[in-house]
This record gives sequence, C-alpha cells and structure tokens, in this order.
Amino acid sequence: MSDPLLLAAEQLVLTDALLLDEWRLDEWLELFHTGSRYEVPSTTSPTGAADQSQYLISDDFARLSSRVRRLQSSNAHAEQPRSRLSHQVTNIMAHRAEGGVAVTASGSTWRFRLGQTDCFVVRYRHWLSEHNGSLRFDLRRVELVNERLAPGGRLSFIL
Amino acid sequence: MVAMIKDSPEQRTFLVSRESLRSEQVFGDEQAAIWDRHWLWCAHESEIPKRGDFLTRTVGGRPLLIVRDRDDKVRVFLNSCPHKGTLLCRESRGNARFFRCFYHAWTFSSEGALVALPDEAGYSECDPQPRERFQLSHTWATDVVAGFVFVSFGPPAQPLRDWLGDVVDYLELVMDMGPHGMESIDGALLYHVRANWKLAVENALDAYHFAPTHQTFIEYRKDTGYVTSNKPGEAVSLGNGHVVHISRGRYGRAGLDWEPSWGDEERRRIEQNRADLVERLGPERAESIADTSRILFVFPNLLVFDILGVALRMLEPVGPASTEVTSLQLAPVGEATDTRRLRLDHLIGFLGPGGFSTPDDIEAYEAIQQGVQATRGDGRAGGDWNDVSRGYAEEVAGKPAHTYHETSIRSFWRFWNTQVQGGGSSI
Repeated sequence: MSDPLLLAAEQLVLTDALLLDEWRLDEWLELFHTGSRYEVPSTTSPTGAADQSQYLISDDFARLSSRVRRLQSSNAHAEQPRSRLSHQVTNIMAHRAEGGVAVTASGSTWRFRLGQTDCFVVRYRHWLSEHNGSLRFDLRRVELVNERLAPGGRLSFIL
Repeated sequence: MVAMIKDSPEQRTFLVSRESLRSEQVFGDEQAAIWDRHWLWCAHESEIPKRGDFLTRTVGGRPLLIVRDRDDKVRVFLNSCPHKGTLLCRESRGNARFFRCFYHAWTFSSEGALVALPDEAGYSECDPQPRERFQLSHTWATDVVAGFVFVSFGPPAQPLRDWLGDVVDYLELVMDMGPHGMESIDGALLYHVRANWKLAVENALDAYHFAPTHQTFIEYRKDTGYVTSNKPGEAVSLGNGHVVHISRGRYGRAGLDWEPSWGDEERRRIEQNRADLVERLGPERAESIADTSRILFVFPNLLVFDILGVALRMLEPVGPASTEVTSLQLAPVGEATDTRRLRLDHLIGFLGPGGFSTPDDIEAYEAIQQGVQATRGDGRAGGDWNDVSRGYAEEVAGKPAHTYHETSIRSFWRFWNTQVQGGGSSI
C-alpha cells in the first residue's frame, strides 16, 4: 500500500482503536466531523438501513458528542468503573472511492469488567474523507459477527 | 417451604427473599409453576406477515417454530422432529412451504403434517403408518389477542382472554394506533443479561430509580433541546401479575406527540394523525393513544413500552442469573418515511443495548445479582431481604398507586409467590 491516502486511512483505523482502548474520547471525537455518523446495526438484520430497521446504535454527530459526554460523566453507571478494552483490528482493506476512502476490516473488541469477559467480533465498514486537511470518518460502521449481544448485552462503551 | 416474601401490612413493609433471585431450586420451581404452565407470549403476528413466513425462537426454555400457514393461520409448533427429536428448523426466519429435517429428510407441511419420508417401505408392517402416526407437535394451546401470539406448554388454567383480563384493552390500544394496523420493524435486538428475569420486571415497573440512574439520559435530553417531564404516573395492577403504568409526562411520542426538534413538517403530520385518530376512534380513545405513555407488563415474559415509540421486550430466563432478551418495535403500517426515521431515531436514544438508558438499567440488575451473593444465609433481621415497601401506607389506605410507589411491584411479587409457593406466605 503505497498510496499515501490509503496509508492515512489505515493509520486512522489504528488510531481509532488506540484512542478507544485508552478512553481518550475527546481526541477520538476529533476523528469525526459534524456530518459524521456512528452506526451499529442489529445482529439480526446487519444490512438493513438505519432509517428502516432497528439498530443498536445510530448516532449523528450531535448524539455521538452526547455519547462521549455521557461516558465522561461519573453518572454513566454502566461504565463506572470503566471497562478495560482492547480493540483489535486486522484484515484492513482500503480503496479510493468517490470523494474519499472506503475501508473494510475485521476486528474483535475485548471487554473486561467486574470479573466478566466479553468478546465482540466485528466487521468494520467505514467511509472516510478529508476535512480541514485531515482524514476523518464520514461513517464509522461496526457490524457485529456475534449472533446476539451475549454474554455481555450492552454497548455502553464505544464498540 | 421457605417463605419468599414477608408481606406485613401492619408494619407497612414488604420484603422479598434474595433467594428468589439466586436459587437454582427456585428457578426450577418457576419452570414448573410458571413457564411450563402459564400463557407465555411468543411472537407478534406482524413478524410473519405473509403465508409461509416462519420464525424460530426459544420461549419458556423450548425451541419453537412459529409459522403462518397456507390458510393464513398462525401455528406454533415445538421445533423438534417427531422422529428423533432433532431441531427441525435451524433458520431464525424465512418463508417456506415445507420443513424438512436434515437428518432423515422427513418433511412436514406448514400445517404440521408429515408429507414425505425416504424409503417409506421400510415401515411396511408398522401400524399405524408413519404419515398417520407422526405430525409436528403444536404447543398445548395457542391463541392470539391483538396480534400478540401466546402459547402454553400445559393445559391452560383459563382461556387466554380470561387470563389477560384488562390487559386485552391495553394491547388493543397499541394496535389501534395505526389506521392500517401495526407492523414489526425489521431487525430484532437480541441481548443477554447476567441477572434474574424478575429484576428486569422490577426495573421496568420502578420509576423511583429514574432520576438517580438515568441522570446522563436527562442531560442528553437537555443537550438536544427536549424537555423531559417525569411526573408520577398511575400504576394499575391488572390481576394475574399483570401491571400497567400510565404516564402523562411529555417526552415526545413518535407520530403522536410533537417535539420542537422534529420540525414543522412533522408537526403538521402529527396534527393530521391526531385528527385522524379522533375521527376513527373518538376523542377519548384518541387521547389515550396519543397523550398517555404506557409500560405494560404481561406476566411473565412480555413488556410493552408504549413510550417514545412502541417497543416489545421478551424475557427468556436461562438460569437464576441469566436472561435472554428479545426486543422488537411496532409501528403503524404505511407511516410516512420521515416519521419512521424519527421514530427509530427517537427510541434508540433511550432504549436498547446501545441507548442512553438501558445500559444503566442492565448495570443495575447485574449489580444486584452480584450484590445479593454477599448476604447469602444471613439470618439477621433484614439481612437477606430486598425491600419493596415504598408507598405501602398509601396502598393500605386504599389511595391510587403511582409509579414512584412500589405497589405494582408488590402485586407482581404477590402473584409470583402464589404461583411458585402455591399460596401466600404472609407473616
């Protein structure tokens, strides 16, 4: 991968994982712009459209900002104490698409908290484009491979 | 039998033994007394709208095959091949004219008849013949009210409508919302909680926790310009463990109760919807549908959240500390595309495993499940008992119960107790 734009895309996906693992959420939010979305479709209809199917998460930038604000509150009980997270990203493929970069990748996000272990296996399908001189998410989409959210049944952290 | 509740009207106290949340034995007793015996909710008809549509789901610990047959009738079969007991259908949903067991290729119609089997001559001396002897087993009873399909795994003690009583009207209220009926939205949410199913029931009927637990949700609503009014609602015990909470607090109801951030176009649509409701159902019914929010619990496994939108939650106990949850949404058939989008967007901010509220609720019941391990065997007064006494004075005085009381939670536990223990255990 010698195309600098594609290298930057790969770097963004890895930075995303690092910032989430370290709970550096304000910095993480800077990977987005005001038109960005963060989506996690249901496990039962992973290809359904967000305005027609139930989703687990369907955030525009305003709600994503609220989500980050919530997770920084001591009243976000589901993440007090915070989960220990490891976002592991592999099989990254990036290609230039109209106006930006399409990225697909595989991943597993491990979550450890209060003696419990959860593993969420995911497929990333992101759209990236340049905003104010740097590559950012237009769409950060995370599709679960798990059949259902189990044994841990809540996405209180950022998947 | 050890008492599971201490109901003391004189002291205005109501206590529930934490064994009810922990014990394998209690879990087994519940299986026999509740899940193998009572009407259980298993699906909404609109999940299988077309002839031949089917879905599979485990309810009361039993895999079910729920089918709309060729005559448009909903049938619920035990998802088990009568030949060797193999899980017959292993798809979660689809459309099929026949169900063929992969193991020996015995094939059944959507009405449950055995219609084909290889090398049938091998049963030449058998009397009766396989096609006469074998068919898919239905549940012991299946009945439908307002599109909600219920089953029982034993002879039901009473017909479904008698068992439901006033619940019927609240289910019909949900279905009356849509001028052309209600449909289930694509994409059921499936999740697991590490907690006893009864904690999920308590949580849904507990308005007292709202402010402390959901502070971040309230802040989120302020961020987005919504006004969340959370004044106490009315809590009505409907008998047989069923409960409805009726609230007039305003927080936006998709298609029915406008919020400023939805814009003028949506305001006009909502005004039209409301005018249509009045014309179709009269002002009183229209007002009940549009201006009240309801949380309905149908004992033992259905929660209807008719709030920002309409969510149906099925509770499926797996163990004392393990519950599977299926969450569906209903919406009016033929709803405007923009309203549908707002509906989905509005509800997801609050409810569901990725919402701003449900994760903290799950945290509460999982924290209880862990915390009640600490007091195991503690014989000191109050040591191993959960308190459910809020508003007991008002209950004794015969005043109306509101949702910040625990009157409806007590009615749930009293009914549960009569089932599991075969009688009250007042002290």
